[in-house]
Amino acid sequence: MNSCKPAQHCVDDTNIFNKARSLVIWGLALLLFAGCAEHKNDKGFITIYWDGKQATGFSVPRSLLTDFSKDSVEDLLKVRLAKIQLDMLGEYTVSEDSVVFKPMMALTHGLTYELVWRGQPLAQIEMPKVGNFANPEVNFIYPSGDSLPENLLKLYVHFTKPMQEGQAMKYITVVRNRKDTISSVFLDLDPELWNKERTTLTVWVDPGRIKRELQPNKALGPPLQNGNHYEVLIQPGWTDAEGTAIVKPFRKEFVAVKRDEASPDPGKWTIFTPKPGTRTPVIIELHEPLDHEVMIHAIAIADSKGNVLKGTIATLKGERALYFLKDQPWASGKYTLLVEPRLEDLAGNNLERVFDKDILTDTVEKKKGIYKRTFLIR
Amino acid sequence: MKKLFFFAATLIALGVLVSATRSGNNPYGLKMGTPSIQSISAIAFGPDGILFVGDSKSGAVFAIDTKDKTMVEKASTAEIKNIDQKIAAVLGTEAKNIRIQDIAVNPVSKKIYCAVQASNGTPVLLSLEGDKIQAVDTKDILFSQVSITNVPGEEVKDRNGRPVRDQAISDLSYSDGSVMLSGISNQEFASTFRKIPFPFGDKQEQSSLEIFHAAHGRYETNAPIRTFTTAELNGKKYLVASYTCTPLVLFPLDELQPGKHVKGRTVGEFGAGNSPIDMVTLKKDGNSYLFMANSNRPVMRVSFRNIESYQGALTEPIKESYATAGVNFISLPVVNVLQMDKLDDTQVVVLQRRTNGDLDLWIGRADRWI
Repeated sequence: MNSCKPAQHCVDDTNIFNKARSLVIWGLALLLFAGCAEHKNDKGFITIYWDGKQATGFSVPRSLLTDFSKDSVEDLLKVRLAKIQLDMLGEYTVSEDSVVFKPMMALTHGLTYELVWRGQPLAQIEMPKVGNFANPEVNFIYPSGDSLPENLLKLYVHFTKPMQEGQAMKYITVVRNRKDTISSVFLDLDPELWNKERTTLTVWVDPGRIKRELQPNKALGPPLQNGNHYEVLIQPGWTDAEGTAIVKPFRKEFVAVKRDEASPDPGKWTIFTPKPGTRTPVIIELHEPLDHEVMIHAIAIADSKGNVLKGTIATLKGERALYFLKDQPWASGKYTLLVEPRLEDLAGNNLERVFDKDILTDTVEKKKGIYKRTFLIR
Repeated sequence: MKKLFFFAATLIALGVLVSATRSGNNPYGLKMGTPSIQSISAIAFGPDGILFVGDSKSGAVFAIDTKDKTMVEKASTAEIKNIDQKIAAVLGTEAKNIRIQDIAVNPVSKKIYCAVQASNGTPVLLSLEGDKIQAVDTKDILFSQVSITNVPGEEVKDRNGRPVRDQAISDLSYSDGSVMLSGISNQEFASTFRKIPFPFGDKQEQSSLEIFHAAHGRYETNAPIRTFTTAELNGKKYLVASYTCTPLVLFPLDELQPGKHVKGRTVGEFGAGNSPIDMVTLKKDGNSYLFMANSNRPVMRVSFRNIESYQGALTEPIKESYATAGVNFISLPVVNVLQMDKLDDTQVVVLQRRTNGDLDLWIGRADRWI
């Protein structure tokens, strides 16, 4: 029986369709509420909990739940995707006037959910598409140079937004000499190598093919060869964590040059020092391009007391140089350049060993530990 | 005097009661709380229903008490077709928004556990009861954790004092009182292999090992491990590791000690474009077999007897091509396996992408594979 007060949206048991429809409408209307966790729900309609852009659950007023039983609420109130018979897993919280259902995962934008009470449909709610509509893009790819050694080991792809994992090999292709699409260049790694924010992806050129004498190298040859032109293409369709896809393709072109088989040598770097009292950065010429991500984390400068200085490190000239910018002007004195032995060049040779060490011929033991080199600012 | 005695006794009793309920004097050092799991890269079972969760994002391994300790001799688990769609349905989303990261079988109850990641990064832990999918409770449970953010080798301190390298956990396993974990750096071409004693101690006693392999005994590379397992050969325990550069390498487990530079023995190479995913050991008629699931090659079977008899020959640098020098392997007619784990001594659970695109979970019997 209809026992509604005027101007109040109530549930009329005698007309399920009207009830469902009105609840859909009200459900949609309420989606604009930025949710806070209030358990008081005496309005007579189902509300949605929001945590920022994520819809985390439904709050069902107990007035809608006939023959309520607190102990069996999990068996009596079910939530599922519309048209799917499987009940969703989640947490039920019962309060004086409502039952809150929070699924294990945030509700998905654009899908329709159905709430069922005692086996009867209670409401259908369609989630709107809410979110940052800006499409993710590729910002840059390192190494940025256009001549790369044929035993190049890694690429770093930088995105503007956190991306979804597990899709890289679907959207990265390589074209050789502007005509042949070549496969098996990159290693299909699972797990993919992302930074914590999921905005930088590290991709490896198949090391099994680069490494001398392994079967893949002998059977298929190295993936990149001296003298060829290559284009790495990031195709549209790759989705970010919110489900929005890349629309703009990104191309990186380069020519492969001869193998790099030597470890980087910080002793050969040229250090350009600023005048004391200025904030001009210290600039270091590396004389070869080095691995961008490792470089900016594995190099530091310490003062004469051994304190590591705070500042900004960034690369220049296709990663053939780097600068170190301090917040404060440089004082004159002795400084020490510190380089971790894991610093790599583009072929994965680090300070302590080359990528694939020929133990028959390469018998000189390189010095271990942090490389130190002092310089003066005066 | 008596009153004082009783008073003291009551206090002591209360004290014991309070401390007991707080920590439960849990034999594994687990405490009540809610672990902050940010991602799930790999899962593996320890003793007594304890599930280890490798979380790359927070740089930690969690040990959680699933309370699933009832012993079951033979697994009676059903198969689940289109498991990705069913998991998506119980999570309230579509199959394209979830990814099954790992599966692990509780050796005590034979229950199958799934680690799932949502496209927005939410980690989810589920278990299968027959063909029913259930949530694994991660709120107000007994758990402990250990950090894996410390890295081997010397570091110049990050200018802001944070650890900067992120590590993708490629595999996780428990054996003989230690959690073992292989991680791959997202910066330098390197991996860490850690052996962490469990129960987790306050002191960072974990050993971080440099384990190498040498192709043909000549070209040595510090290559990352993709997947590993432990096995017993001739009464001795070994770590069997499969590298991203394809070789299968053996390391005696007792040699994996803190600070040691351990070189393993390469027993074979398994072909171009191969990316190993999971390895399990099954037995038949007293013989052990290693099964390897691969990303784009069939499941391979290697007899441990072949590996055992092979060992002597590997002390010399190998000069011939690996096509003949490596240990023999058989390719099974099972392709597109995404996950594989041992169900019991004679069965294995397989997650496979069928040719029609369906993602199915099914049980493989060892006697059909050997």
